[in-house]
Amino acid sequence: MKRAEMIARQKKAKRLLSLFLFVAATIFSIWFIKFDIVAFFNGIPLFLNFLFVDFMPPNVNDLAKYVRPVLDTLAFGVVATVISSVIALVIAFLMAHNTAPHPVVRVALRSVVSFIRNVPFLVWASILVVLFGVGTMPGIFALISLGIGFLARLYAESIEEIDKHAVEAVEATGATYLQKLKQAIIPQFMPGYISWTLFMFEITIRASAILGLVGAGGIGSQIKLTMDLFQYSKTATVVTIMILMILAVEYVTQRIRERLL
Amino acid sequence: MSTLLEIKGLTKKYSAGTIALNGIDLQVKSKEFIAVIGPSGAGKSTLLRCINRLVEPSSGSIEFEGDRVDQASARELRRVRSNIGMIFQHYNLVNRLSVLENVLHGRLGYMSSIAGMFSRYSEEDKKKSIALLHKVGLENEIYKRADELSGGQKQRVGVCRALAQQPRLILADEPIASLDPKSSAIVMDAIHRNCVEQGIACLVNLHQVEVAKQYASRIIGIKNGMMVFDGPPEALTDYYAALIYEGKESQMYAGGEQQDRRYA
Repeated sequence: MKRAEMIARQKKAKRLLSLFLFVAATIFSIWFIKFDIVAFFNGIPLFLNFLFVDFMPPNVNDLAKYVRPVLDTLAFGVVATVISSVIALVIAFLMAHNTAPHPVVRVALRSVVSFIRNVPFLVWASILVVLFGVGTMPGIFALISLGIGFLARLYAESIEEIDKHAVEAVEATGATYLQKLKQAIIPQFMPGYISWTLFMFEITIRASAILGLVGAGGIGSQIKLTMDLFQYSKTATVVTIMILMILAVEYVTQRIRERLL
Repeated sequence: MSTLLEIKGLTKKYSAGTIALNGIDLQVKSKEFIAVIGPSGAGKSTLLRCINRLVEPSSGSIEFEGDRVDQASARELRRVRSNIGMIFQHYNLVNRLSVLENVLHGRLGYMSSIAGMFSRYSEEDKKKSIALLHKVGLENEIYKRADELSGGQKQRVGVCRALAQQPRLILADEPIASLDPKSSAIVMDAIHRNCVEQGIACLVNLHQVEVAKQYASRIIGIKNGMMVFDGPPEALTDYYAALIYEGKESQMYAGGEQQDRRYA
């Protein structure tokens, strides 16, 4: 009885301490970055004004002009998803525990992939814009590096999760490494492969919209362009188009997923 | 009858330090139907898996049709494995493939790597596999996905996959431990009948003594990684059975561990 009481009291003390530390960290951070709560609340009407006065009504005069960037963005997404899924697939087989030909290969690839993934996508894009100049190439390369970092890891995890018993049985028939891969591992990995790749396509579409901001082409460029020219009503149109495009892609990938799985 | 498999001084120590097999000597002649009995954890499964090196033996020699399996290169090992069929307790089918494709996996060891990868099975292989499925009563499930079948049906597919290899030896690791009595009888009959008809030797791990006595031409008892009995079914008296299962008597009877829990 006494022991239980002591544990309960300890727990309570711990909870109080955590709460205190959390509050202290928040207060310190607000003070450190000089967060101005008054400016924040004063900003809200400004923001709403901007959104509903400067942005409205959307200027639809140039609608035809946006067809090309929209197609560009979709094409970016397709190209980047296809290329990165092929490269990531090879890497994933080489770095998954159950299919890696050698532990050294596995560990080496894991660190490369984790490096690619941990450099933020916009940093990749900025570096590549410097290397290749403003245009579509840096955008596609940035999306591919995003895709490889993301897919290689998720593919490898799906491969590691498959039923190893069936693989063992195929091995026991005298199958070669490649036969085992194709006959026992790939069939089980297919659902994971399809759904992660479709998800990647959604992500690249969103990301390619952002890419325009660093001058890497696509629909995002139109946002930056119109904003720089203070043509906010046109920006509103572009943003609307972008939202509709993302929703459409989500809908389509969802339908494909339902059909295939 | 010629010697098909010769095991000498087979030992397996797992990295955790457990000794699963401790100096097993075993000779299997062609066409023998051997039941390996013993309580769970005795090393039956490890013994079978050492024969085709799904588990690497620690020491000892394994000779199959005159070839040293324990020293075989990767290529030689694949050739040995193609001549040894294996049946598993949990069927180990590739669930997302069809029944027929699972049976055809038995042919992979006889094909080039690329042909096998792209499922370029010969017409003859397909016909034979379909004939096998007919024979075990699965003629209506040939094109179904493997995960649509019941446990007993899945195990019959497993049996067909092993038979499709046209092996000299079949290793069956607790083939009926996850099945109800009716399915168990169907599966054991299928294994036994085909092995006898096609002159295939068989090593089958069982924990039910009466099933072993019913089918086997020879019984081997394993306990704590050592062979404690080797003889014809008639010689396996209650005395020996009690010795093999000492301390784990409840596992001797049909249902084994499951029954334990039910009556606990």
